[in-house]
Amino acid sequence: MRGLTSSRSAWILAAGISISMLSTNSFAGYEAGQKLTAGRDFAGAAAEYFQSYSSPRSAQEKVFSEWGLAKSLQSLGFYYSSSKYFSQIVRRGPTAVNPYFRRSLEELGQINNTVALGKSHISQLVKGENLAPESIPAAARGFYFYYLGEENFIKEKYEKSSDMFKRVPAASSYYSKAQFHLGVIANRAGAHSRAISYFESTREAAGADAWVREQSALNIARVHYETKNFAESLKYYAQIPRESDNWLEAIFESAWAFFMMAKHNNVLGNIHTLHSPFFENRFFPESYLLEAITYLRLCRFDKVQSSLESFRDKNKPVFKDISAVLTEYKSKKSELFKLVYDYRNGSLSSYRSAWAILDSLSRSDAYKEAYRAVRYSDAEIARLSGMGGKWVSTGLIDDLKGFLAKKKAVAKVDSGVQLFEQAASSVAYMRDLVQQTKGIQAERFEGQVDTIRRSLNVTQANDRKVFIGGLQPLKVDQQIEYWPFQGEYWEDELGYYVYNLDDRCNASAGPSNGKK
Amino acid sequence: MGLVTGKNSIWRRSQACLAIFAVIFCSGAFPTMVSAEQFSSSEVRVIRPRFFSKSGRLETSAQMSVVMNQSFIYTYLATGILDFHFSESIAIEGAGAFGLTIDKDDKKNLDSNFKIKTEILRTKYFAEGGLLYTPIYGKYQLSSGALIYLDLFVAAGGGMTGVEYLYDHCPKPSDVPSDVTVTAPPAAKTASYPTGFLGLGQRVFLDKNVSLRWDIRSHFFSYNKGDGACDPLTADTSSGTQTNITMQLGAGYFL
Repeated sequence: MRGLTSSRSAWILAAGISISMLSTNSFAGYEAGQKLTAGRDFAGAAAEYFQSYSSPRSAQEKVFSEWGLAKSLQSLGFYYSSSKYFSQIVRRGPTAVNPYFRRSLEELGQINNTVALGKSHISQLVKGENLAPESIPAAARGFYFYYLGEENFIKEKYEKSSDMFKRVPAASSYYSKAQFHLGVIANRAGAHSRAISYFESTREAAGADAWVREQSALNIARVHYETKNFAESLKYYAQIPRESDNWLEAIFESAWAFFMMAKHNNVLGNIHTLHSPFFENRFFPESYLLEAITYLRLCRFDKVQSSLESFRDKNKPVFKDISAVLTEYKSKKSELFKLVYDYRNGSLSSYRSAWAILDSLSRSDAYKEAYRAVRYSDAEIARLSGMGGKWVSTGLIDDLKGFLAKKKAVAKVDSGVQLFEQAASSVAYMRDLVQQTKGIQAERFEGQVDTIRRSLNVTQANDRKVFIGGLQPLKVDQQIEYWPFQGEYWEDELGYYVYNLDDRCNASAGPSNGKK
Repeated sequence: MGLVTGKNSIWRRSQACLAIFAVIFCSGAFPTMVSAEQFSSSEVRVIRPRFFSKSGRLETSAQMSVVMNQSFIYTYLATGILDFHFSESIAIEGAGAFGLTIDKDDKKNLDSNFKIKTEILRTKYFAEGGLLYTPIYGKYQLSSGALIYLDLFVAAGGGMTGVEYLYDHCPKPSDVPSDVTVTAPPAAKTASYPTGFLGLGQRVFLDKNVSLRWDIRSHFFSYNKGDGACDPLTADTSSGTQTNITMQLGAGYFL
């Protein structure tokens, strides 16, 4: 723990510095910066502050100029650039000779709300810190404790992580995300009701943050699925809007919920959406296996075979290409970000069969975060190129461009490493699925479904509810519209497909028990 | 479950046609009306809540009606329509229209150049009630990718049509030589005649409450020729028939 001198001592020091400023000329550069700041000439002030920061006449002038420089850059909208100096101040900790620690922490919290600084940046601030809570300013507590919680969460120190998340004030903009993590931790601990309560709290606190709200709904759905409350889980999957990036995930996971409820026509309907040409580049290999075991469940053995063949035909080239990607990028993981970036902006022509996985990577936090860091950095670098005069002569531009270039590089490296790991786990996942196909084949040859039924614990008593498309139960007197699928996919129909197949398992024993 | 209808994939191939007229005018663009049972042979279906439900709702519409089949005058009628939809396919309707007529240049030229007076049946109003049947509900994809939902209905009913007689075709004393005696034309009046109508129309649904609507209607009635005669004493009192074809354009709001 860093030694914390009381704030009173810090003020005495600051007062001493102020007095000495009056009596000596050791703050000339800082004073020039202050005058320009008073005249709202932030560009001029930044150059003056940078000069006095780089060549201070005293240690105090360096401290003051550093703060002035950070504030000037922030006022000019150079948020990333200003974060360099705010971060330097924060990293020195709340010591007597660092009077701007608290305010810098507050400013970083605000900057992170405006332009995400990125986990790698923030983790450097909170890494190994064990500051007394009272040393964290109220306005920065949300920011500080949230990231400290996340740091521990990543390290799987859930108890400590939970402690940190609980310290995030309810008024903080980080509150909803902290509640979300608490929900995840509670669920890991098997406290399902508490987890749902946290996720509900997240939804309430999320406000306009649709991503957090949707993730909460997805997680509530997953908790209900885990607790075998499948109909309830469908309610929450249905809350994911069609235009969301999470929608297909909800369609896929809800297909499993339908399967567990023995609503096989709904399962196949959802999979029909997943396999539409609209989502050619989305990665849901498991959907083919779910389709196969659904047909197996309906004793439609010819279709089981065709689903398994589709799995093989579709995923064999994917496996080949993603393996080639991993081989090529094993020694240069940091460059994987560029590959995903090229895929995302449409300039990639190689590894065509691996695009579904590249697409999945491009939707990951690891990619999005680095993409934001690169975009914001590039925007500031472009603006810096338009700054002249003292920004050039003092070396401020070079300093900031160097920082931003490094920030971009770090973001790409961090992202590349994470993306590589995710791609590698996709390959492992596919290998696992290939193993599962063998089991399904065996069941198919035996013409039995009992083994699968037992292993998956599919609900034997068919839920009385009838589900129409869109994961919705049919309501009494509801006006319904039907459209036959005639080989032509319409965008507005995605997510509303329901199959119309009989269960053939009882055909030999007697009349069909109808459609499920 | 309510009325169920189906789309035909031909619709997508009909993009070159103007969407609003697609159902009517584009070759092969008619969707097939089908019932729920007819889907039993379809392995994959879309089943979802109806985009636009009319059952049990009151539709209020405002339209501008133009009588299309008149050679010498323009007739514009401000039209209000109320429909109550018992189901997705059946509704009753009440409509009222009131308007004005404007002489075309042709009529004025005939009079001024050739002294030809044209006798005109000027529609002043109509008030009708009827039944609407909506057999087709469908959707259409525009070339932009946007979807529009629409339905097509037929209408039949009856009411009254008010015909305004201005007697402007009647010779005035000043128009004839002084040795010829003519009676002064009767004062302008509006006579009402029982009317039947048949119609065809389409709604394009903009959202869950608002639709654009057009109708083409044929209003037919029998009138007493004597009502338009310049001299009632020598008038031909036989009956004539008149058909007004109206094109009606407007918007509706569903309560």
